[in-house]
Amino acid sequence: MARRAATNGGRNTAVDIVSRCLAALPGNYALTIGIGSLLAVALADAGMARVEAAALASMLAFPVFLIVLLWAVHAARLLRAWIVIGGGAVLTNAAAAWLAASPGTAG
Amino acid sequence: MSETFPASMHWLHTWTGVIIGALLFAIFWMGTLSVFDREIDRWMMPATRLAPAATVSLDAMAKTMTQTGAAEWGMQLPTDRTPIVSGYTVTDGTYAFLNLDPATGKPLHDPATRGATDFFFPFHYSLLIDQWQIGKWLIGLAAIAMMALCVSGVVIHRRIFADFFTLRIGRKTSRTTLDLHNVAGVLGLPFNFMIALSGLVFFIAVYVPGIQSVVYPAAGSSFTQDAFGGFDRDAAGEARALGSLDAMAREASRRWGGDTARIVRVTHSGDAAAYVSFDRSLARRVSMTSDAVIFDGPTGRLLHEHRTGPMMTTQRFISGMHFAQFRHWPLRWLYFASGLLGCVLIATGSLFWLQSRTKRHMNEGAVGMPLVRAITIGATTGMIAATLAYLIANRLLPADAAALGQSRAQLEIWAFFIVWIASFAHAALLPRRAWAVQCWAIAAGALTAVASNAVTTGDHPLHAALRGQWGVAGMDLVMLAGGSVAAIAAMRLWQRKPRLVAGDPAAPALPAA
Repeated sequence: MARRAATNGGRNTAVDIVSRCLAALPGNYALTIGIGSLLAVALADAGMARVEAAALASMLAFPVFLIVLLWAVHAARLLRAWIVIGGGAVLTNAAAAWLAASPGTAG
Repeated sequence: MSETFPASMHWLHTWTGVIIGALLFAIFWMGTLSVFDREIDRWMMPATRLAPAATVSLDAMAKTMTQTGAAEWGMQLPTDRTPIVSGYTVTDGTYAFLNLDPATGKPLHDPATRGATDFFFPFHYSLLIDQWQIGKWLIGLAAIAMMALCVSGVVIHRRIFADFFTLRIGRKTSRTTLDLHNVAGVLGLPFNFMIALSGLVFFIAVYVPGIQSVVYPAAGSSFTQDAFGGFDRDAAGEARALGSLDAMAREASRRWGGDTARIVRVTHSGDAAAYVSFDRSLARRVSMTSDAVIFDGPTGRLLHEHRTGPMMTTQRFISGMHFAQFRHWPLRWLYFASGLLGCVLIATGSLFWLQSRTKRHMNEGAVGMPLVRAITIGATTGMIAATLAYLIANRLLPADAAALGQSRAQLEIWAFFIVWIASFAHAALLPRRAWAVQCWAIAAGALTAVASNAVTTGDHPLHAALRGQWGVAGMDLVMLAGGSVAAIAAMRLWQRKPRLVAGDPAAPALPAA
């Protein structure tokens, strides 16, 4: 594992690895739900039948999750991975909730 | 994680494989069996080895079903793979199952087994853990892992085209294992990625309900009802006989351009507000269409027709690619072969990890190695042996068997789990010849299963084939072929001098590498 000299200043400690797994799985899941929800609400707002909007956004969630997972495993800086994933999850979920609650939403 | 992307992917591939390999093998194995679940059902339920019925009178079936007195019942109609009508009744939320002879409408004997469709198949998608859907979530995690393994495998595998033509048998064992892993991986890549993704897409309502609930905030409407069709009305409380189901089926078929129904469901049976739902057959399409027509029970008047929009049609198509319910024998065999190849891929991956680490870990005195090894053996050869034990128990347990308060069907499942657990224990306690011994067990088990089918039912492969029971004959022949492969593997493993096993006190001291 000599090649595992990471750029974040030395070896990956056990805490680093657990933290990265948490970002790549539960963190990633929250972000994926946020992105999917935002897409579903936006499409429904744009006039798509809500069952269709939800189905499309739900199916796209799996490739999104996979890409974020691979990126989170490779991301050079763990802190940046957490900021992007955690921050993105909060922002997208909040935006989806706000859009869903705002008047004019197809419901 | 690492400096280069391939190095990160290498780390991901290795550790995902080690942690999730055993679970993935179980899912792939059970999924592969489920490709032929109806055929295995015929093997395990001799009373249902009937000749296909020419025509099926739904009204004759309905007579038997209404006699049960259940307010809600349904039946799965025969196909070229299933010669029986599989009926169910729902009383106060509890399901009961009964099979009918399509020629007469009379109930068949209780098969006293869960067969493949009610054991291998639910094992495949839920691990039989229904509590909080933990099983489905573990499967979902494994499916994501499979896709991550596919991508990372391609990234770390630089010579993907050249290695496609490379299989170095007889060289260093670990080299052969890796070559086999690479060939199986490249050949099965599209299938493995498709099967993992389509499995996830099928369960969108389980895995990403948050995305759907954001556009379905209010109670009283739901994504699943809109997506998969749903019709409901309350009972009137006034008795009235059911109209002709055959007439309704003809009307449904006319609306579907000649397609027949695969499932018929009756709700509020015997009530004036009874309604009958027909689900469209899947035989002529890839898509697991949720097209359905619903009629008023007493009059046969059309109440509702469910058609899906483009996105849900896409979801049903992708699901259909996973379920392979269409009528196409060459493709069905290709699914089966691809599933087996996936099993080879997973097993050789684990094996390569073990082979390439054993020496180093022994020198380091690491404790994890024997554990991973035992888990790998139990999860692969042990799983196959347990499957055979389930089949043998099915043929050899007496029809009215019951022990310790367990029914015959439950005893079969006990046979599966006892053999499976024993194979883990065997691999952990007697590691030196574990692979060879378990391969012998598989060979003996396969032969016993085929023999017990011949003895208890008279349907040896030739006899079964001559009377058109190709499912039964095929099942026996596949077991004989698989048993032969296991016997050859066992002989070769046995001839070889015992491998070095980490943690084995009898292992000689290693020269410095």
